Amino acid sequence: MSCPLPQEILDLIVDHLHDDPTSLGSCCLVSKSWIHRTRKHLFTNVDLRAHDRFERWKETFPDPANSPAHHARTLELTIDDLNSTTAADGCFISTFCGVVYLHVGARGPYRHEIPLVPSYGISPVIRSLCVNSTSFKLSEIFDLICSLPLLEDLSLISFIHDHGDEGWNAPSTSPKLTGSLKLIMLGGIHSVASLLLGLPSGIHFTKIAVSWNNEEDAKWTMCLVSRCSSTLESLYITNGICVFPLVSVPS
Amino acid sequence: MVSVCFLWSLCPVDSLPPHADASSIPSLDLSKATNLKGVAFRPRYLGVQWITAALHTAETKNLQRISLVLPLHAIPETDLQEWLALDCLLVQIWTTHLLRPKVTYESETWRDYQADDMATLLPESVGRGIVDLVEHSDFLEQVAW
Repeated sequence: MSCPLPQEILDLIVDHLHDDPTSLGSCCLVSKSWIHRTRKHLFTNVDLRAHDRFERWKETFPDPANSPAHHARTLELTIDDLNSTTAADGCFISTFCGVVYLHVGARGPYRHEIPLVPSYGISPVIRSLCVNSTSFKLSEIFDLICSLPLLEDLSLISFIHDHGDEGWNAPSTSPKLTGSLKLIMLGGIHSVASLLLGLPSGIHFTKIAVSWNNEEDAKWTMCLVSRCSSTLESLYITNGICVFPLVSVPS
Repeated sequence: MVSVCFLWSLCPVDSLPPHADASSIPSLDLSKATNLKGVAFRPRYLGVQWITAALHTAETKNLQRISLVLPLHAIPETDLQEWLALDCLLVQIWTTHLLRPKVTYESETWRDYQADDMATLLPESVGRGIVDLVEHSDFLEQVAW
């Protein structure tokens, strides 16, 4: 007669395999009692950037309530305009409710604006956000930023020369932004910097990395440094597009 | 300890944008950033006068890292004086705060070439042996990213 191990012991055994996806995959097939713990490790980092990954995720886990999305702590997502990724997909995306690091990119024709709406409400506990803003409106990016109360780190990259002077009304609250800021903006950082300086809760970055691409960027960098003067610990400036790591996925 | 890191870019000269006017860059005043522990600069197309000016304003007693990333392409003759001024400041910082600079190279291939360049651009720092060459991969850790 078999004597089943307590669930806590089984979980502990599975935890030792946290960095071995092959073994975790095998464990997942042992019994139902093993599934929850193995999924926790298997789906810690979810990368849906590649073409059709998101569609395959929806096919594999058609019922959002039973998907392992809530295990994800890191989510890398490409919003695909060509496949009409829309707010209708929000119900799937919102199941990633435990994500603390979010990387959002877009796939579509150059300079074609893609709505960032599907990523709204994705997780209330996001602490680190990286957006390739080339195809998104800055106003939507800042709406997303202000919807994340725990946000600390912000990385923005854009390879278009101007984002235009679109209007944006700052909400009454914004995250305190106490981590790192990384800006690589081919058209200059002025649009982003001016919006950051207007956030109602201010900015309190400890690290700032900026790529200068025109002389105005120096002035705006000075404004950012000045605003964060009491908290700033590291400053990295490069002139010309490059090079610091935009993405730093937390371990 | 302050680390000064130099990283040579592999960007070919032909792809560089027109030389920007460094004099039009506003001075970067770091005097109010009293908690600043690390700074890193990558002067790809401009001279280094703005870097020297920024470092002059920094509260160096708290600094633990100063990192510089140098372009691989030849430094214009006109910029040499700016480098010598920066060299002088680095030596001064090292003298007063024992902050040892480091030089970062992009790959083993460029190491000797960059070492020669470094001796030209930062003669006093090299002469006193206060700069070390380190590999690019270490650079990002040194600037705490």
